[in-house]
Amino acid sequence: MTAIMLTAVHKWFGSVHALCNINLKVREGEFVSLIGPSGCGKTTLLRIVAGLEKPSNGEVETFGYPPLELCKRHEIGVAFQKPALLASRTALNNVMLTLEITGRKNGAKSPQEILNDFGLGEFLNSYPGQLSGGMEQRVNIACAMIHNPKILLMDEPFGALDMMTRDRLSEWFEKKVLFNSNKTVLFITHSVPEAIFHSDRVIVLSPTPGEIYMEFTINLPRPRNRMTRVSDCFLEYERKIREVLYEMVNGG
Amino acid sequence: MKPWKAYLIMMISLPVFWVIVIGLFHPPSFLLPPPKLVIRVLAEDKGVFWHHTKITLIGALTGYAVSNFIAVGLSIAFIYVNWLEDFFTPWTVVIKNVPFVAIASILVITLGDTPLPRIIIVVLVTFFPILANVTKGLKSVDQVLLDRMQTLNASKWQVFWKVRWSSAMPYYIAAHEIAFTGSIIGAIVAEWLFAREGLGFLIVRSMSQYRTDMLFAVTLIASALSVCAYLSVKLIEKRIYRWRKEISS
Ligand SMILES: Nc1ncnc2c1ncn2[C@@H]1O[C@H](COP(=O)(O)OP(=O)(O)OP(=O)(O)O)[C@@H](O)[C@H]1O
Ligand SMILES: [Mg+2]
Repeated sequence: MTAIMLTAVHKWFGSVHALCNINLKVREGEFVSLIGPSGCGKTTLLRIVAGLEKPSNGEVETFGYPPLELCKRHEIGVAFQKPALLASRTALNNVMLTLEITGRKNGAKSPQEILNDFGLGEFLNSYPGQLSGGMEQRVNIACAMIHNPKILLMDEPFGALDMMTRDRLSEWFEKKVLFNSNKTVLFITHSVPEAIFHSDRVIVLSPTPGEIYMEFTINLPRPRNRMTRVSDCFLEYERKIREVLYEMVNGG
Repeated sequence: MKPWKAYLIMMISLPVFWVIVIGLFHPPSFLLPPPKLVIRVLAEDKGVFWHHTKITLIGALTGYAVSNFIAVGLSIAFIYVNWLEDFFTPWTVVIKNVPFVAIASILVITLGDTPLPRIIIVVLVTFFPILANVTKGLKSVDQVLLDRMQTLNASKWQVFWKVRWSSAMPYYIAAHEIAFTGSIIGAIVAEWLFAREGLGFLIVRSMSQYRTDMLFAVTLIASALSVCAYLSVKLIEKRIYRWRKEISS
């Protein structure tokens, strides 16, 4: 089944042509990464899929419905680049907030269980200001998926972290969240290895206006782990994608 | 140093200082009555003081409640009705900046000896800090939280109560820190201008009778009230906002 479908989507902000003729089809359960230089419209694309922006032109469908309808059914979870946490609520209560709003009893897991899984068992009652950046990001992701939405949209969730933490979180995310789940994920990143590591498909966007420049299908076995990163196959993908990115920004 | 220790030291050193000054300079007791005398007046006339303190407190609290009601209501309205804030800004600027003592005199003449002028003056003094702070607090909410709420299809009420109001709470408490004490000062000034009851009235009466001991006693009570008002807000703040304290410590 098609989870996300964009047909000839354009977006203008005043005279800025942020997105140009985006056609994208994401299957249910597929993990698709968007990569591209800063300002090429990745966040805009994600916000359109989340129903937070309307396309100026073209069609968006999520499981056959407009995004707002899917939001109504609580089937979209968004992990924003900047953690969307209330400073006055503990980690646990921030995750609960999602359930309070959606009125859903937890999906597969309770907030405690999910935070435990995410390695935050000892920080349930800590406030965001007391957590490290990486922990906050994990809480942020827990908030985005506790109600078990079919679509998960992630805007550079590990963007603000150092490389080591980032790699560790990536591996944890692959193992704890993605493996054996049927989630459809649209994932924005600036990191080529991060995109390859998680994705079934990597989409390269070109800037001004944002257009789909090239697509790569990633055929790496799952589960993926630290060994995957150093496999020849992985490094070959990395080389190819980097070449395309360099070629694109240097004007080909 | 623990805060309560600092307070204790202050409370002890004030009377000690007072006694030292008297011992050194021997001022006549109608200029600077000794603590003993003031305490005796307080004890002898405690019924009178209690009565007038109650009047002042009731005036201050009533005015403060009205002020909160209007100011919070208005700042919530500002969030949801765009033109309202622009419309009211000149009014609030006037309320904030017009010398309230002048207004108070006018109020006394027009409204006479009723509780109304007192309440209005308290409102005038405390209204603006609450309005400004709560408005700012309600706007301070992180856009990313509002986006999160939208993707969860939160109702307007949920967004307001769970996100906006929560974010505004620290600002609201900060407003109390300024305004709650202000309400007591406002009430006393109002009484000072016209009333026949209340601590402000006691000040006027003691002055006209050259009762310095009485004046000192009233000052003591009024100061204690204001300080207590401030400290109680601080205490509540500490309880509610453990998360802030824990962050800073
Ligand atoms: N609300 C807005 N109003 C006006 N212009 C906007 C708005 N949002 C985005 N833009 C413009 O659209 C273009 C794409 O922005 P977008 O945030 O989608 O880029 P991005 O690929 O996510 O960049 P980054 O990698 O830096 O996050 C930029 O030129 C930006 O200035
Ligand atoms: Mg972005």
